[in-house]
Amino acid sequence: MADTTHAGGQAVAPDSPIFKGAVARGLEWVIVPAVLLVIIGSFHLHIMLTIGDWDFWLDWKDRQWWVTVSPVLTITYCAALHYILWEHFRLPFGATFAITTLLLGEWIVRFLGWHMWSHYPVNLVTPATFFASALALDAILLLTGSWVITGLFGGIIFGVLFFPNNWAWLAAYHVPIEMNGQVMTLADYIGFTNVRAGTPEYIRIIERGTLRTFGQHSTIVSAFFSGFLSIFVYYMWWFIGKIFSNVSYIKSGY
Amino acid sequence: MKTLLRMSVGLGIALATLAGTMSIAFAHGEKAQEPFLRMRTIQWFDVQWSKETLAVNETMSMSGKFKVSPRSSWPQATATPKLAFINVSIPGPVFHRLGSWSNGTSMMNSTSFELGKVYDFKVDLMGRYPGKWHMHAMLNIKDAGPVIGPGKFITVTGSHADFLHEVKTLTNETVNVDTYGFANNIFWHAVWALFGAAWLVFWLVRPLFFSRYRMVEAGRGNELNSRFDKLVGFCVLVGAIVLTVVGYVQAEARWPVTLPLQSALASVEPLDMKTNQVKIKLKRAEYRVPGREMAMIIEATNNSNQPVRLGEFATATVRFINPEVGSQGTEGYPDYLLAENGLTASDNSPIQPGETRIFQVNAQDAAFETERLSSLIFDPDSAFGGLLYFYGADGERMLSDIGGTLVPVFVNSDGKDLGQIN
Repeated sequence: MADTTHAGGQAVAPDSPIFKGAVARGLEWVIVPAVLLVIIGSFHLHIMLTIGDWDFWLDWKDRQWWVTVSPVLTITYCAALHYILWEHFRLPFGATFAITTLLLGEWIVRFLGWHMWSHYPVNLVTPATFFASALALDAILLLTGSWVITGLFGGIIFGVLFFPNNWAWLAAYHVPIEMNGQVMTLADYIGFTNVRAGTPEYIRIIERGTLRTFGQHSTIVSAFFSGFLSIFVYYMWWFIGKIFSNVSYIKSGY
Repeated sequence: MKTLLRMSVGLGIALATLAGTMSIAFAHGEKAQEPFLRMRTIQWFDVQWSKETLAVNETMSMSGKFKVSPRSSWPQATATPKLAFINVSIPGPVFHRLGSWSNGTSMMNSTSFELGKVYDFKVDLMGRYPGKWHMHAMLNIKDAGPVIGPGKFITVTGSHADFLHEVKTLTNETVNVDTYGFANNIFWHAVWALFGAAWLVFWLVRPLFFSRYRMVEAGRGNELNSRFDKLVGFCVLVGAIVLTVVGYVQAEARWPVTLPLQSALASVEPLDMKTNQVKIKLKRAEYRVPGREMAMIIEATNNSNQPVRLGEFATATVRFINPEVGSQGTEGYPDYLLAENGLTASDNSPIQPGETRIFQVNAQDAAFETERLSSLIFDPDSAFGGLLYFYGADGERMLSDIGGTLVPVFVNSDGKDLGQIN
């Protein structure tokens, strides 16, 4: 049976309430929702301020920019939560937890705010999903127990899985239509027809950039490039997670 | 404590009362734009709305013309319309935009407009949400922002539940633009959310923090995750990849013909419209603050082949009409932007072909205040811009650019003429 009366070589009083399962569990059920709310707020804000437009609009989800920047900016919180939950608790669900909070916040805002309040159709403001990437990242951490390997292989997979994960629902909007003599996708038309006074067409950062040498396969190149960048971002934010979980400034009463 | 409680309740009631008396702001935010931006960039004219009331699913058009101010008038602080987009200012998608054109060219993409040239525009719209909506013509200019034209209230009647906007794809499918793909979106997001939730629940149902922390601190973190946990992890990894592939393959099978997003630029030629047939030189312009009056001394040279008279001065969508001459297109123009007796000229007699005349023009109306144009005097570049409309004997309209320094007069000048007229 595991020795739970010693921690770091120092004895802990056996009758300390911290040992009692119900108290500990009760506290955990206070901590989890509180952390959930904090992460919903801060991660959602982080995403909106960085890749917000690509994540928001159907007619911004292109093969280059969206595919590249979305995983890179999303693996940030996943990595930070990986550090906090793995290093201290050996819990491998940090990435999925982060993505769940993000999508919860996004769907609340998109559906209640943009659809119910501002009358935009849900298909224009559907957020991207990152679950496949996050689940794979968590699983690799659990299986390898190594942040280095997780960053390396998990980072690549995080980037590469993003586009195919979303294509399942996005493909329907890339069927071609002809409108007023112009050929475009249904996504372009849905973006055009739903008037956004503050989002003129030229502001879309889509399909800009060359990648000419790759013919029409810019999606695959963007996905792997995104995976490559995600490796470094994972490592960087692993250490940011370390800095933000530092409690040495709190004086302990024990 | 009781006092504090009473004060808090009183404050709460006061705030609630105040909130209840506030009216909803749903129009005229364009007044917040700086006057120099509205007066010296895009000169809108002949703007019309084909209907003022329509039902959900009915269509209407907003059309007109605009003259891009010449280089001499265009403000230095504002980017030129090398990249611009013809837009509509409405409160969200209460209308669906069916198409927009300029000089017959589809303007679904952005384009470039030349300084000093005239373009026409037309936007077709379909009523979507019932209500009374303020609709402006608008041009978005990259690095400058929106330049808003005249606006009018349009009423949409009926029920949104009846709204139907369908298009036919090139793959021969008729789709409802508002609802297409919604079920599929929700399905795939729900599937992945359930997968993610199951993974989270797998860990959340067991002790999370305290006992695990002690184990890790005791150097026994390796014992926390069992072989079964790792087997589940492996299944999650494989499952995530397999489900992704399944989703991708079924999408490719269901929609085999897809295009990337289109990021083209449109190209449009300006209208072949003569302007500045009456050449204008501004001698001096003053804005008299107490009288809400702009007074200009202008030198006008008639280079056309018929006598002309000054009918109108237009700036920032406000139209000052000379009642002795009149002007075209005032029917249906928004009342709050129309000063029907707002323009006077010191000499209203026709200017003969070839004649050069110096005379004074006064534009006076409360619109200078209500449209917040008077705050131009506090802009970093105290200059104005606008259009003068001259009319020939046969009714031909001739537009001329006018603009230049505007000197504010803060003391009542007793209505004296400006300077010397020679």
